[in-house]
Amino acid sequence: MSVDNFLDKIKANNEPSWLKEFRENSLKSYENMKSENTELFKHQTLFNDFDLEEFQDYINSDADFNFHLTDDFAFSLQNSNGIKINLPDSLKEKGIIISQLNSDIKNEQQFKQILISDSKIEDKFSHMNNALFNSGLYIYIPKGLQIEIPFRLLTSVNSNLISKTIFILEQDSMLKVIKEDYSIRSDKSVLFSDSIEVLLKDGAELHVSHVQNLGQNIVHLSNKISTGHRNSRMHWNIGYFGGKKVRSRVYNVLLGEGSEAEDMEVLFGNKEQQFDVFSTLLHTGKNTIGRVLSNGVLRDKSISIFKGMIKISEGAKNSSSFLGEHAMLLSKEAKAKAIPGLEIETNEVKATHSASVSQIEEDKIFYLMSRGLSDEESKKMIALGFFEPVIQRMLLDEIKNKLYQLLELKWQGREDEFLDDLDKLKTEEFKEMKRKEDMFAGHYKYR
Amino acid sequence: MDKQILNLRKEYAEKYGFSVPDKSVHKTEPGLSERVLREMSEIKGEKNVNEWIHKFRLRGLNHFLKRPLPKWGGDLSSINFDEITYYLKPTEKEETSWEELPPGIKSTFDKLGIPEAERKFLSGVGVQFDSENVYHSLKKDLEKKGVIFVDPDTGLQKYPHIFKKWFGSIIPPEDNKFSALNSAFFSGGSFIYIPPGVEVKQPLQAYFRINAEGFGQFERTLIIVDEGAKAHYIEGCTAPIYSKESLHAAVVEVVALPGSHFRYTTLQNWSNNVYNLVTKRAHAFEGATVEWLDANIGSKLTMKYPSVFLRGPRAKADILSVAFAGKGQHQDTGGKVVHLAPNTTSKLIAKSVSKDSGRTTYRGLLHVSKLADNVKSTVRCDALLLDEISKTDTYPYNEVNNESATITHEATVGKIGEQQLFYLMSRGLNEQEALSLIVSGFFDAFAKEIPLEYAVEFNRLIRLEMIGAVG
Amino acid sequence: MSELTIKDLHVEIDGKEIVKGIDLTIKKGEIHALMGPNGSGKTSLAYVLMGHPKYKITKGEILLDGQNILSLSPDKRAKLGLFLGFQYPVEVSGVSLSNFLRTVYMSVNGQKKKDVGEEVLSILEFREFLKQKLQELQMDQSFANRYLNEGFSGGEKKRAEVLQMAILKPKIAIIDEADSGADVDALKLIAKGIADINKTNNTGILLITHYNRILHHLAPDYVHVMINGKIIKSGDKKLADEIEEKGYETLRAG
Repeated sequence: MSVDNFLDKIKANNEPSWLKEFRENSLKSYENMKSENTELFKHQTLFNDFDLEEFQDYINSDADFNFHLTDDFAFSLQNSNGIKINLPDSLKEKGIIISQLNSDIKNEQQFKQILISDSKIEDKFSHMNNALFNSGLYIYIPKGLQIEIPFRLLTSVNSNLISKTIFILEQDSMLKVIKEDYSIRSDKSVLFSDSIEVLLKDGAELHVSHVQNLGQNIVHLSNKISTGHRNSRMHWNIGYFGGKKVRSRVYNVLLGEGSEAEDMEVLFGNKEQQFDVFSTLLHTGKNTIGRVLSNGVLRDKSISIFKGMIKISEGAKNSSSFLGEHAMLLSKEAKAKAIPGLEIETNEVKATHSASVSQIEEDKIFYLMSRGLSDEESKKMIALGFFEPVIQRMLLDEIKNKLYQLLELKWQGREDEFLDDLDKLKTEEFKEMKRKEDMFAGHYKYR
Repeated sequence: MDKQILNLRKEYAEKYGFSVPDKSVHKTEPGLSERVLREMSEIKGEKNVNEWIHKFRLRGLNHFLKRPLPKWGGDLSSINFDEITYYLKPTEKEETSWEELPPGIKSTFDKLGIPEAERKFLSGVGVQFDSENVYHSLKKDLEKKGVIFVDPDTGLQKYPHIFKKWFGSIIPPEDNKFSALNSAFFSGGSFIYIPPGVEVKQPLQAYFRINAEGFGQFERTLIIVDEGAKAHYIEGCTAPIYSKESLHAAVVEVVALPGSHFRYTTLQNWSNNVYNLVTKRAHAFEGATVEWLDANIGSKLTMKYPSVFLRGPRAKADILSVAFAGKGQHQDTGGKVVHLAPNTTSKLIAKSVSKDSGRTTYRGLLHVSKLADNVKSTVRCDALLLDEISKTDTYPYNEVNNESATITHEATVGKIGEQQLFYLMSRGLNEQEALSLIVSGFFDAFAKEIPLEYAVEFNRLIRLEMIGAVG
Repeated sequence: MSELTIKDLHVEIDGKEIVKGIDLTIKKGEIHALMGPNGSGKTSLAYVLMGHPKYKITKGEILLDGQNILSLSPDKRAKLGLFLGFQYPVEVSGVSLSNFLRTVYMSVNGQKKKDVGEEVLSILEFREFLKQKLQELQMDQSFANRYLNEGFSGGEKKRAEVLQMAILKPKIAIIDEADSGADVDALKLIAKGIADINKTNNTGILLITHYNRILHHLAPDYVHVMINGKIIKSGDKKLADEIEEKGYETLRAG
């Protein structure tokens, strides 16, 4: 990918001068930094050899799918241009703003503020996103507005895409988001950098369910940053399934007293997929609560590094924090590392972490087999059970069912076929299928 | 309570914090250079006898000068390598009778209770005063069975075949900056060989004493436990309280041959002006067991991660690391286990207490290689913070390259429960006593593993730390 | 007539013989109690009957309705109608009890029923069925949504085992220490659950137990005493009373 090319295009967009300067500084930071910039993790990364030049600039014109943006409250992004926004008038009237980042940026002051404060979280690829983002979204929820219907965010990645999504939730507002990433299967190497930056004012609450089902030709760099003020709540609920190489950074700052953040992640690797995931909880406010659970199932030659860090600073009294990292290795060649860290600077806290890397215990398989399930069925049941805590928290049954279907297909190594059904997912046929009492969809309905 | 504190303080100063006048017979000028190295090598009589060892030292020195200070771990920036004395020979020769020792040195070890312990329950004793061993003993029956327990100089002279085969092979000079420094200036320490099938029932003990100010102690220990043999080695260490900082950079290499069982216990109680930067590693072959019991109570900064490489099938590693960091202290400790063979098992338990702005860090590695099938490993770290200004970190690295492994890791950080404290106080203990009791209980897993005499000593040290009297 | 026949069974684990020649026949509808002190090999025998892979059968046969099942995997044995109630049921995170039971029901009974043209319970019917079973065992309905055995108390785990047995309707059930970890009330329910399946389904029962606590609630037709890998004495209910009174020592001596 040619950085100059990128920047030229961006310049043509008439951006304000502070933004141009911000991009330039970010680019310098990107170039000067390593994938892991702390001593602690410098050898624990899969992205030391990352090179932007490897990604050809091209537009995949021959194949693209059309999202049926049937939901009233939704946004879709196809590559960097095909944008659709559905925003019902009823919400617009209440002061909600959804706009593209690179056209008319409203609330410039706040936009600037969030960008600059997030860029203090030193991460190479966060800087890259800041320097090069070529599309994205700004979502503003005014004070006291609580929206129950989930906001759907659909992204299709078929050529290099550097996108940024900014959420600003004013005091006591609430929003639920379902983010889905897809791509047409191809063998071209494609880059997808995806930064979600969240600012939660006092008492605000955001729930993000993120389902990533990209093709295994895509290098996915995901950055998720949240800053929570007093009594705010942040929930991340993430499933990484696709991608050739995935780098995920979730960074939650629990700034205000009584704020909470929860990050539940699952990943399912097969073939030669590589995952490098890192979740941080930074407690600076009093009485804050943080919780991270990162579970992974690895088959074939897939590998994963799970990194985590709980930092509780001196002022964060009476905070409690949990970090769990669990990997299940299901084949000889799968590999995993789990590195959960704690840095605790005051005693009025509760901090725990647990990590494990293991295969499925023989006794569990025996137990299920003694009830009549075959060896394969038993393994599948236990492995897929590993994903449950995250699937259960996904918003909407539709998404849960999609995930069960995806897991089922991926278990059989047929995950590519999932995409064929994408359009169907919106159709009557799918709704019918959901009703069908087949084994798989059926038995999960109880929950 | 105050009276009790005073008594304990007095007790500490009397027991460990004293020094005797420097009556060394040789002392190099402060600072390190090839010249200092040659001077030391000459005093030790290596020059004409053994070029091999001199070359080894130069290898260490070259690497030390080349290698930057580690950027991780504790703050090493205030060590002034030019102000440290690297070699200080306390006596002309090593003695086998306490009575032969110069009075100052003898009284030092009398106070520390070493001769008494030797009489009571040890198989052998080696004591080091600054750079050299000044006393050595080994029970006659063990000597007859072929057990060797000498200092490394003697080891190299008398048993070159065994010595050269393993020396520097477990921890080469280039392993890290401080193993390089040790390789250059090592002096004193132990060379131990336990012949096949021999079981040494009572512990062998080494005691390391720093007496001089602004001094660097670099003892080096090589222990070979031959097939089916069994032994337990205990080391203790103390130093006087000075304002000038001293450096202790030891290297310990352990070879546990098939079927052997070896335990290494450390009770580290350096004064709070000592940088304690130690490399300890064992290789365990088929069916062998290596246990590190590592207690770090003293020092300004300790960076030490005893490790075991499990090289043969069914080999076993057991690491128990406890640390207490009081005011101005940083205990950066932990352990490493590398599983290289099938059916190997390991257990790593770390417990730490931080108090009065002290900082404890657990740093651990658990690695399972591709070839190591059916590995089982558990790691558990617990940290207690006794007040709001103390700190603790946990950095465990778990790397698994074999699907048949089962590894689990758990860690907790917390403070002493109010309910627990209240309960004890309702039974008539004051807060200080109650806290001490809880902390002793927290460390009990360690105390009950070591011989009674050491457990008593260990518990007293914890009590001293609890009232902030050390250093 | 359904029956489980064990013929001169010898079993090794890690090269050590732990079952040293057992002969035992359990017919449909019968209740047998297998008693013995700790370490006598009772649990090993239960595992071996169900086909745990870590045991090595060096000699003998296990027949279910005349078919040698030694080479069959545990699921095949379950499908033939053998059930093992575990002493320590395993926890499986992320798999809800209802999902598990429905899957098991479909996998074991469903196919069988379809084959003979019988009605298979629909999801709704199954849900009702489960609800009723939970009620019978005085288990809260919320158990259906909890993960399999995760966070269950000792007594709850045992009741969940009985629940699974009720759903699988086995021909022969081996129940290992049905009472461990259960209080008196739970014990009664467990005993009743076992008696029910014995009566309604004519299931043959092998109760493995250290104490005869459960036998006060569930009268066995036969009692066998196993010590050191062998059945050293068989009799009726009186034998259990004798053990309660005198312990195993006198039998061992005799």
